[in-house]
Amino acid sequence: MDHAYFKDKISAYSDGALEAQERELIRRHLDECGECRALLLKLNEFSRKVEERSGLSGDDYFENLAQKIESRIGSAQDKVVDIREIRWRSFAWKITAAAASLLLVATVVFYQLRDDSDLPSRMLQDFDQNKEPSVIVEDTLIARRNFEGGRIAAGSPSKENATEGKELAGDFIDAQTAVRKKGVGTVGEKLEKDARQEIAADEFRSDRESNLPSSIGQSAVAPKGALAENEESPAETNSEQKADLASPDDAVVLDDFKASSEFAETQQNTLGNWRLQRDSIQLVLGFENDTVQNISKNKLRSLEAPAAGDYAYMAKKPEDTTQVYQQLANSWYQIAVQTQDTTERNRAIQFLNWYKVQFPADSPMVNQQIQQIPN
Amino acid sequence: MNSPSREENQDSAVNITEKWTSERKLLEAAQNGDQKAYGILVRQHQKRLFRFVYGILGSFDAAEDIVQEALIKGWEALKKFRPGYAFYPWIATIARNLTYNWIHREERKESLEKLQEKGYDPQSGELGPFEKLLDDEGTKRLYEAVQALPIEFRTVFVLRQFEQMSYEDIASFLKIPPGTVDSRLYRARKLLMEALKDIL
Repeated sequence: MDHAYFKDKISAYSDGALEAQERELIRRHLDECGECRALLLKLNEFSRKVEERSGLSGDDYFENLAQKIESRIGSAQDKVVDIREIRWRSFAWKITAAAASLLLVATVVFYQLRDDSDLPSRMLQDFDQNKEPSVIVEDTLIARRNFEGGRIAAGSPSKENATEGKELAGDFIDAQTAVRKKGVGTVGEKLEKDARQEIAADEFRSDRESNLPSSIGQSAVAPKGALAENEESPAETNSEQKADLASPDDAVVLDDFKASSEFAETQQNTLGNWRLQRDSIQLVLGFENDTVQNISKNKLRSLEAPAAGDYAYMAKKPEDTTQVYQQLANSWYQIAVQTQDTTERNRAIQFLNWYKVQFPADSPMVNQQIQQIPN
Repeated sequence: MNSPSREENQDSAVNITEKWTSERKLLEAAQNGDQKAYGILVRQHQKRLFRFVYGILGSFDAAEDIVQEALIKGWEALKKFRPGYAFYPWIATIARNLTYNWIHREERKESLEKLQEKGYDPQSGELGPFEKLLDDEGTKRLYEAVQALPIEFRTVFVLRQFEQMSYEDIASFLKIPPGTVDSRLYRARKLLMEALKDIL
């Protein structure tokens, strides 16, 4: 590849938008090419200055605009309706209904006669007005599955199940460690069954809510037992599982969480701790059970990043949630810096990009962090 | 680069937390029908929304209409807003969709020439009434240069630089390949760096 190719990619590199392999190529090229290094610095400086210079003033104009909006909101809500208006509305409603019927017939005939490839609605439907970020929920689900997969692997009495657990955990390195340290965890068949139920419940809820994910984990990663009694269980679960899922049991949840923590503690390296911190915070954000949150706090405090315990604990106080997200972002960054796993690194970058949108004030710092993530 | 220290984390977290706490409370009040709370949210976010919509359309009047419309739609749909998320990305999505609906609608109705008569000028480089929102010569130069970009470059630039959207999201939103986002953005930046080299 020639110099021009690399030069064209520096802009995307500065945004942390390249795939790992390409990023590595650019990084190597930057080591050798002074011109590209200068361009990178120039682009970074340019972005910073644009951010500084692009703010709007016009306070009077915007105050006026805000008042117009308030007035329109207020008039829509507080509108006083007099009797003449009611009569007129009644008459107008009849006219409208008749017109709507005619229009409906005309529309059906029109669209039946027409190739629908250029329908305006088709053209516009792709813009989902209520689209909400789903990355974090997906990540939480992945974290949960990793834990469950690791637990199955760690606690499974048979090699077959251990392999299945490993597969469930996908590329999560902890699961492989768990397989090696089989017997360390005290989990067994019961946990395996529980894990399967939780995964099934997560998938079920995830499917149901895939269009409009809730805030982090409140439903998508609710602990076992969190399904309301009148909520349907996954179609594939049997009646025993249904009963289990419908009966909140703090003791079981607590045991599960302890087992997860014990399993994770077998990781003595820093990367493992950052992963534990990340997953614990995500789990804590998903759990609303106080006992579980306390366990998380204490477990985290005993590790190398004691502040994380406080952050995780704060998750139950809505006013402190931001700091928890910030700590979560920092965990992802640390993981991205240390991991050898491309998929995990990409997930970290994906999270950091999501985080920047949620917390624009942190954007410059996160941009710098993304640039520092090695390939 | 080292990661931020614990102290640095906590310092910057204080500001964000204050902002976030206040936003959460405002959203909660607004969801319960408090118009004043929503008014504060409007005041907090309308400038950034305006910057984005104007950046795409280059039409002051259209930007004003769309920002108003987005914030009113936001109020009407506020019950659907999920607690725990930041307000801006949600309201910005509404504004983005309205902006693109506006372009599609107007293009179906009228020719580009007529749209330009109404102020939708993809590449005029003139700011018109928008200038009154800029109190600094450098800022004015920046927006003039942005407005002078070809529309396809400008859109990508605004979505990335002002809205911090990821390349993937931009590609999916504009229905263009991610590689195209990459090249358009680079060209946009190159043109802007050249046009603004004396001030940036």
